[in-house]
Amino acid sequence: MKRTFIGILSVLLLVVFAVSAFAAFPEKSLQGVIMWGAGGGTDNFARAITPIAEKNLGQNIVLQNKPGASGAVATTVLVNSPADGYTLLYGAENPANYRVLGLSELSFHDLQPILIGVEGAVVICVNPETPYQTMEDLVEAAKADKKIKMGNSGVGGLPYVAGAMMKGIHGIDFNYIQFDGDGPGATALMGGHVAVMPLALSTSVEYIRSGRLRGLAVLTTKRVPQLPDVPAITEIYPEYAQFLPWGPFYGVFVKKGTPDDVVETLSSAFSKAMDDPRFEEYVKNSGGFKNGATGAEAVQFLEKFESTASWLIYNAGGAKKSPADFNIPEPKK
Amino acid sequence: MEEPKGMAGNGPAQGTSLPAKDISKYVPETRRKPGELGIALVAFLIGALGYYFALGMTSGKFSSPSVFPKLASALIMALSAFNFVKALHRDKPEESSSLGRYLFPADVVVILLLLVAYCVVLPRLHFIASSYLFMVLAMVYLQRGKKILRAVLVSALALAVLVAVFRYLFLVILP
Amino acid sequence: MEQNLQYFLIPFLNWEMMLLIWVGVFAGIWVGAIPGLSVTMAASLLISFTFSWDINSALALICGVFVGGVYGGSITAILLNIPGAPAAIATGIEGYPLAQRGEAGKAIGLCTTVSVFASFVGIIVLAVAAPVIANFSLKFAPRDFFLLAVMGILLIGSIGGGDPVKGITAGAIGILISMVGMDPSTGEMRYTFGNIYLMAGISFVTAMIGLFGVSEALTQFRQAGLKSPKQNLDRIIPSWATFVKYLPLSIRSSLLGVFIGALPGTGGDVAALLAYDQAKRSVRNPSRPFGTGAYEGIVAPETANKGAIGGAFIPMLTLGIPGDAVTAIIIGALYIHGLKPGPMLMIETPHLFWMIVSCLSISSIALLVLGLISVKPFAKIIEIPKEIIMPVVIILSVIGTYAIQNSVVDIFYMIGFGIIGYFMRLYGYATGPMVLGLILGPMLDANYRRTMQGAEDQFLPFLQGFVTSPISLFLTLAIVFLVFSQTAVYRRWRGIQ
Repeated sequence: MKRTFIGILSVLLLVVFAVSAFAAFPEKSLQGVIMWGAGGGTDNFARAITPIAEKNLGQNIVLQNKPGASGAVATTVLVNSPADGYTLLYGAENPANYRVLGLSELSFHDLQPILIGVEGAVVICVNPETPYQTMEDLVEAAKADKKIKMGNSGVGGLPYVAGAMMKGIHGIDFNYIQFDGDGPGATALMGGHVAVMPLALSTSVEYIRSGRLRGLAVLTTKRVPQLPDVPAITEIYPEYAQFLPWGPFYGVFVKKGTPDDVVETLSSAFSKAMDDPRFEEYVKNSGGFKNGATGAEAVQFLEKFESTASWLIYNAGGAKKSPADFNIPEPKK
Repeated sequence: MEEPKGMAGNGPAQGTSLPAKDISKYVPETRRKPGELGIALVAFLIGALGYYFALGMTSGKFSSPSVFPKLASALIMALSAFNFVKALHRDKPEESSSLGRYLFPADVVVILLLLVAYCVVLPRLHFIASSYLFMVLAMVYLQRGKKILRAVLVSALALAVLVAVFRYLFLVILP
Repeated sequence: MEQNLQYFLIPFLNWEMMLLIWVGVFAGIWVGAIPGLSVTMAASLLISFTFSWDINSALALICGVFVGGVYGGSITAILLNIPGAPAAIATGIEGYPLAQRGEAGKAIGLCTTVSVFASFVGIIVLAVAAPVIANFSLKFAPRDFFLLAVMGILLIGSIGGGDPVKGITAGAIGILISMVGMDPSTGEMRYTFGNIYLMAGISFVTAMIGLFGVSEALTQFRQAGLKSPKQNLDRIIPSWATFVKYLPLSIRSSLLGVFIGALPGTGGDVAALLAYDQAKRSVRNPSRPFGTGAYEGIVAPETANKGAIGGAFIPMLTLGIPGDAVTAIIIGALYIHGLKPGPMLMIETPHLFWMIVSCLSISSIALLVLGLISVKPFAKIIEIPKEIIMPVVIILSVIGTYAIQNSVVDIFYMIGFGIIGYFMRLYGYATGPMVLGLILGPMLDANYRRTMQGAEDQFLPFLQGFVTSPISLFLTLAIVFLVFSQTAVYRRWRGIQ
């Protein structure tokens, strides 16, 4: 109890007297903008890493959710704030697709990555009552009968892009039914209202483990430790390798043009936070993998993702504009 | 503008508490209110504009994004046409009640102006200053210039509590 | 069994958890009562705040805030006609007229007692039947959510309190406004005109605060010199006889609440509205006509939204599916604290289930005590002169609106809705239906389209679904009955006035 009280007190003190003794960055509390709503994957990532990063920085980070337009609202807020490193954006992969989907003029090129924190994988899941025991069953059935219902979270979302991969490789199409996200889609899949849905590993791992869903393949080149019995997609269809690695990720960003030393301070604070055992535990349980890329490595990662995702969306017919208009290179086959 | 005493039409007697009206059974009023036709027209216009802009959305399928906007707009247009005709069939509003005075009694005008001013000032003076000004001015006006000290103190206290709760407990960064 | 009892007793034997629950309930009442501050916000803040704590203490605090917060929303609805949360809209319909009669104390007292009762109904159902209900709730197809939304829309005529056609007009405008923004399923922009703030859509809480709060304040300024009603605070705790009289209604509504709460994606707001409508149709001799301060109209929504708390935990604890926004955040908290929410949670960590059941029970007891203690100070709020309280209410609405999404634009929307609501009230267009349209519009649109997509865009298979699936058939018949029961033939037959 004493600990709790001291905890409450110190947090309050920190907030009230948010004036720092150090002259160097950061000398006041920071603002963290989360691009998705409370309770989502991005929100969980932000709330798990921030308390540890705060300690490393010696400053408070005040978190706020600013959801809307697939995170474009929060991205706009960041870009409209000064490039001083005091405003952070906690985001997911979405800005890679804003331009081709016509959501916003912004993209990762307007942001400076501090850290690519956690990466996830996508699993092709089916309802266990369906006859599809393997990935081949599903592909064959989809070729024979075009009426399989596939859950989806909207154009440009992960299930959509995964569907686009399947369309590109096998030429198969599904009857897409749109849900408000991974979670509601997984619920409908368990209820049998759709037959198949590509789901993030973090959403599906517990359902697969308990037999509520059947995982057919993971969209990776190697099996994932969380699901040792589910094959990697390249074991069955090696042609998927051209799109991989690909999957959801969560990262921390600042506005482009932020001074290098500030970026470095932030990057090292967040990188150190990733090695905290509490954060590692969270990553393991939430079905993700640590990425930890910073600096040039992170920029490269973002460019590769943008190229894969935007061309897939474009080739599937979901894009408003061609990625070529924005000089996004086509992925190498 | 004069004190809005003895305002036309509705409103319970003054100086007493509001007697709860029995609204479970709807009794249509015989006279239409000033401007009632106008508001039906405005509603119709909202529906028409809603439908017009829905024409630009993807359509052609039963599951298109434009289906519900069109349905709702069409419903609005039909119902407001009905409201318009119904209001037309009622007696004209009383001669004495002008539209301006019905819509905007003095107190409402002042508060509305204060609200608009608040919106304009908010981005410049920020939350604390503009809210304080709004509360003091509104209170002073509503108390008819009396008890100014009370208005100044109560506003300060209320604002202090709000800022404490929102800024320091809920960590909301104020505008 | 003995093991479960042991788990159940953990919070009772730990004075730190006990204290945190009481603190949580107390804080929750205030959070809920302030429009714009929601339990969802409080819970997500508490996750960062309790990061370094033990998971048990964190959960105790969050459970307390949850129970207190749902209750607090009704207080402002009764006192000021500004629902602190959407789940309290129905309560305000009867509660506010009661406060105007000087019976605010009695109304809040009744609300507190039946709330605690309903909260326990929810907890008992959670403890006894969680897996069964969770599996049943999975069977609800998009079509059934569409039907539930239709049921909610049918309320529009009944909560208007005036001309039903005007109520439906306002409701349809509400639905139209709810379409503004990025269509969640195709990403298409509707009514956004290229504006990034419109793309994010218009939050219905923003509209609710404007349409109820600011427009109420503006309307009150029309009647200068109107005194605030004097409150009678003698008998705030309802007598045993009163409690027994409303017992059948309480049980019915709280069970409805538990079930609606257990459906993923619907929560206390829909539950309270459906329960209010159900009471209005089924209670033959209400204490007063509905719309003028009928006690039955407080009992039904209040029991439903409290029952929905236990309900929301059902899919969360058994399947790892959030029953509402708050349980979604609790799932996040479990991840961050190193647990694995999902279907295995109850099997691998059974103590967690029983501990939450007992935290909720203690919260309900705390609610009874703290709720009854705070009736008098709360009721005094209405006696504050209008010229003092109304400017404060407006500023409270402003900051509350801003806090929802930290957006200044929302403040402008809110004030705009306040002015629109003022004009609507002047011409007999009730504001309640518009908020209802805003809440249910997206649910109608998305689920209708999902169902249509499932039927491969063919009208006939779409219609067939309504009669071939048992749940859909039941809901369809219920809607037919609801419509029929509004006709004169039925009312004469049942002898309802």
